[in-house]
Amino acid sequence: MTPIKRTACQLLLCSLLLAGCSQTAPVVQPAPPPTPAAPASATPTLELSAEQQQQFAQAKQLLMDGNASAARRILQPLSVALPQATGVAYNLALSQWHSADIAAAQNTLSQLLSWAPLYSEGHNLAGVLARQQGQFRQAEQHFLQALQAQPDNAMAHKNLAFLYELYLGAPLQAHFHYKHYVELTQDEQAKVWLALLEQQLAQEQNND
Amino acid sequence: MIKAHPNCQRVAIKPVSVLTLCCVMLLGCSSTADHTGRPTLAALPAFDRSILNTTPPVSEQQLEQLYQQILALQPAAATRQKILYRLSQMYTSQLEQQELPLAQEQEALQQLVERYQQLLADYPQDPNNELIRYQLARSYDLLGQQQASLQQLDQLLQRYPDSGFASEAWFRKADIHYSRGQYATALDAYLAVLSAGDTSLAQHARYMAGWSYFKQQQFEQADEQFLKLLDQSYTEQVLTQAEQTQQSLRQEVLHILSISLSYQQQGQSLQALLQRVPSASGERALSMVAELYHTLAQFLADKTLYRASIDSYQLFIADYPYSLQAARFQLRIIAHYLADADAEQALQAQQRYIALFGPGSEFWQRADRAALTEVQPQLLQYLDYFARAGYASALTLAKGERQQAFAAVIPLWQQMLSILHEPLLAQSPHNADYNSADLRYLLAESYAEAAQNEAALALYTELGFGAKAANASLFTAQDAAYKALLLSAQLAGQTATNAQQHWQLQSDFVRQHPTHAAAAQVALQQLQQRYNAQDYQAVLQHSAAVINWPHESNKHADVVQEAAFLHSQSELALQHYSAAERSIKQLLAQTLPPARRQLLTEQLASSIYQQAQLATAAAEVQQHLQRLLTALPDSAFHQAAAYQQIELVRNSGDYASAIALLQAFVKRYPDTERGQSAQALLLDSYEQAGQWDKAAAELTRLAAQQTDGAAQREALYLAAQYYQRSGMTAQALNAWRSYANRYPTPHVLAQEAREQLVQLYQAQQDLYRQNFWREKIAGFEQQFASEGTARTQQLAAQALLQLGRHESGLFAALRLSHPLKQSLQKKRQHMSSAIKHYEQSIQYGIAQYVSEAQFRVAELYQQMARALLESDRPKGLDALALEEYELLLQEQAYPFEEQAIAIYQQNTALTQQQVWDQWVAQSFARLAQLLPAKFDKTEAYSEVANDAY
Repeated sequence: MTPIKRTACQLLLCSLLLAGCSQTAPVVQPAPPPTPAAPASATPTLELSAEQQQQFAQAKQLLMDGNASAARRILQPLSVALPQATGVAYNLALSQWHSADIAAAQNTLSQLLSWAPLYSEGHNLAGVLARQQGQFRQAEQHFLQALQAQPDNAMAHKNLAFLYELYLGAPLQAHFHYKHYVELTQDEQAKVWLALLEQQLAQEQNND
Repeated sequence: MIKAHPNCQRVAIKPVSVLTLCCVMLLGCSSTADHTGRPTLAALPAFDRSILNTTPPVSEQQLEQLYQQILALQPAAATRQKILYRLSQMYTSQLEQQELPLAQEQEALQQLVERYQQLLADYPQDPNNELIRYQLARSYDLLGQQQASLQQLDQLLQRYPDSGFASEAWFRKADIHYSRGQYATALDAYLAVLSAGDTSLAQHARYMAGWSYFKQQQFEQADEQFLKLLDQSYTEQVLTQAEQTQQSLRQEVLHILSISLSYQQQGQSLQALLQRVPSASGERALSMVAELYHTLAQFLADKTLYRASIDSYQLFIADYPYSLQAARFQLRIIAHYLADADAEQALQAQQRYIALFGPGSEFWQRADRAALTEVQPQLLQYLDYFARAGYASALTLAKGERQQAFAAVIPLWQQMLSILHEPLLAQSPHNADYNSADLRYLLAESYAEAAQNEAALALYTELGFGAKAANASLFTAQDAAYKALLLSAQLAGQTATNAQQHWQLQSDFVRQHPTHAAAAQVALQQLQQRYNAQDYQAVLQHSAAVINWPHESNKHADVVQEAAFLHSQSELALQHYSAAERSIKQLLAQTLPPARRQLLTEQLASSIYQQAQLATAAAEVQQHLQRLLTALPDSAFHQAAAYQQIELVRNSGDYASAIALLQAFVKRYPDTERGQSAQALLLDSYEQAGQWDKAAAELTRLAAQQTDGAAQREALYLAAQYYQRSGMTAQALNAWRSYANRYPTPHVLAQEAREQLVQLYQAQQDLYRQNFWREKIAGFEQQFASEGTARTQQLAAQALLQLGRHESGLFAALRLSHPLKQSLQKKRQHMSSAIKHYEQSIQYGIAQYVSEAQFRVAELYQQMARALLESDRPKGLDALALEEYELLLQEQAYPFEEQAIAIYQQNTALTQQQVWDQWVAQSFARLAQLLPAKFDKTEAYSEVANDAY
């Protein structure tokens, strides 16, 4: 058994033990996230031409196939033709990111969020890109805005939990969002992450 | 006709009274009259016949015949008496009207006497006897029977004291006594006449009374009578327009009065007499008083009593100094002294004449036109004489006395001018005899010599600048103006007002007298004053007038040149450098003293240099500088101009040209401040031109020359840089190495030098020397920690990191193989060395190096764990032993892995300090492998948006 595997087993055991003691765990609950001020999607639905629909569908397929560059070539003019199409802009940002053009992706998202500030998915993706650039506070803001726009955005909770735990050293906030994420998704792996975090918190509390 | 007494002068009595005749006779018989000039009585008034009965309407002969016929008829006594008296008067009248031979006349008179006596005898009580006695006395007198006449007069005066004939009777009685030398009796009779109040006889009675006193040597009383007579006669003379007889009488009286006064105290007696005897008419006429004094003085002079004569005049002058007569008398005094050849007294008298009657005297104040006209000639003559004499004398004196002497003549000139300018004398012909302008000039000269500078200045100014002096013979207006200017110059320094006046005079002089020899010089002085007052604009404005002086007669080259010089200096002061350059060039073309030439040459250079400083366009600046450098290569501005030219060339980017100029500059001015700066610019120009080798060589040369350690060090540092830039690596290495070895301080520069060595050796892939100098960097940073900066700490952290990498490379390259112990030991040594360098690097806290160093330390531990697990297994182990051996290896490797995890985590924690780089990211990646439960976490996002909107 490698030390790593052993550690994992130890962590799992600990998390199970901690889960049994969850009622008594000295976890400080942070304040609930703010209620969204507006509907999640305020963008009016507009019709696409058949060609545009076809182009958009083609780009989605290319993205899913991992051909970001090709998708970008389609989405770039489409986003110009459909300047308020959030999905087009979002996919364009994805294609730019996956094309290793992070700056372009961040710019596209910035523009998108300027006219669709309640676009939760957009904020979430912007948070992911910011975290990868080491812009941790900016990432935090985007994730929080994603949750503000869509409080049940599980991905945003998950990403915030990662951010607080691994990059910002805020385990309590991480714990909060892990819990929301688990509640929203019942993700088993996440439960393990939560258990390990709670174990860490308990250990830190004991050390104090 | 009645003939005169044989002893008497024959006198016609036709129109005059018998009484007059008697008087004449009396006078003719006076023994003293001839000697004393006794006057005649011809002027006495005739008897007033109105007292007689009126002329009968019929002829006297008819009437006589008629009376004789009545007498023949034996009239009554009373009638007879009347007829007899009547006839006596008829006979008397006929005799008076007839012109009979003397004998017949005598006979007729005798007959009348008898008739008169008969009547007196026959009718002693007749009321007409008063007349008969009078006629009887007169007839006796005509018959020369003076005693009989005197008796009849005495009886008349006794019997009829109030008679109308009393005055005449007293007068005739007085004359008889006087003629007999009975002066006291005569005097009483004369006084009786005067007491009687008969004005017709009063004058003569007083005259004779005076004589009577005189004869008795009672001079004062005589004088009084004479004076009264003169007073009266003066009044009558005025009223009657001066009859000849009256004048004669006055002359006689004046004469006898003078005689009388001469017997006394002469003029003083006259003065006392005039005071003692007031004039009956009030104030005594001045002309009469003057006449008295004059007559007396003349009389005395005739008698050679000159002193007394002059004293008499002087008494009058003293009492009446304001009178014209006084002036005349003073002239007589002067004339006397001149006649007597007494020059001293004459001069004194003339001076007194000036004092008494000249301007300022009481006389002058009171005098009318006529009086002034009369005294003017003498006054001018005397004043002119004394002024000129005094002036001439003063000229011969030494300074102290000279000043006083000139002061003394000043009032004389002033009085002369006052006379000549007297309005009442404007038409006087004597004015033409004197040149007023010359007199004023002499007065001005006298003022100046007497140190009365203000007055002299005023007068010179008036003569020099006022209305043109007509016919001046002693001077010209130019002369006066110039003298005014000289005086003004003396006074200018005393007050501001004087200075202003002097300035105005200078201006007036130049304007009004431009042909004067000094005019141009004066104009130049004004220019100099303007220049000294820093009124440079005014200098420019007025200098042309001097430079282009229009009069060749007084145009002087040195004056013109000085004006041009001031002009140029003013242009310089006003920063009119272009104009100044032109002006100075013109001056330099002339003959100049060496010192001025040198000055102007330097100023020429300065003006060109300043034009360059004021120019804005670089081309223009360059043009001025080049002109200066070419035309005046030896000027004091050459250095500055050449340096500025170099700067211009450098600014234009023409460093090749700049290098050439700089080399020449440094050569010419090696030891100057600019020369040293030029050396720096030369280096910089080498640098800018990319001539690094030359720059470095120059620096090396400079460093060798420098005695200053710091300068040497800096030169060596720059030389190393330039060698490095020029690609001369070997020379650069030598220079840097030399620097690093020789100058450990300043620490920063020494570390930079070591860093340059590292880089150069890195380029040469000389790892050994790289690490040598890295070790030096690390070591000196510790040694000079207190002088460390962010830069040196960065260099040290970097060097240590590089050293760590080097050790890490050695560590990684060493595989754990048999004999494991030896290889493990070497590997551990490299690991320890690497970690040591990393840790030292981390200690400097440079974020970019901390994350890498930590990562590499963690990686070392991770690699060690892996190396242990991957080490060679001992040969010959069976399966169990091999398993046991591997377990042992895992136990050995596990701590290294744990250590690696801990350090990776430590590195990831840098994100909490917003540190994010590849080493942090790689640490997350390693941890994702080593602790996947915690770190293998990937953010979630929608992989695609299904809807376009």
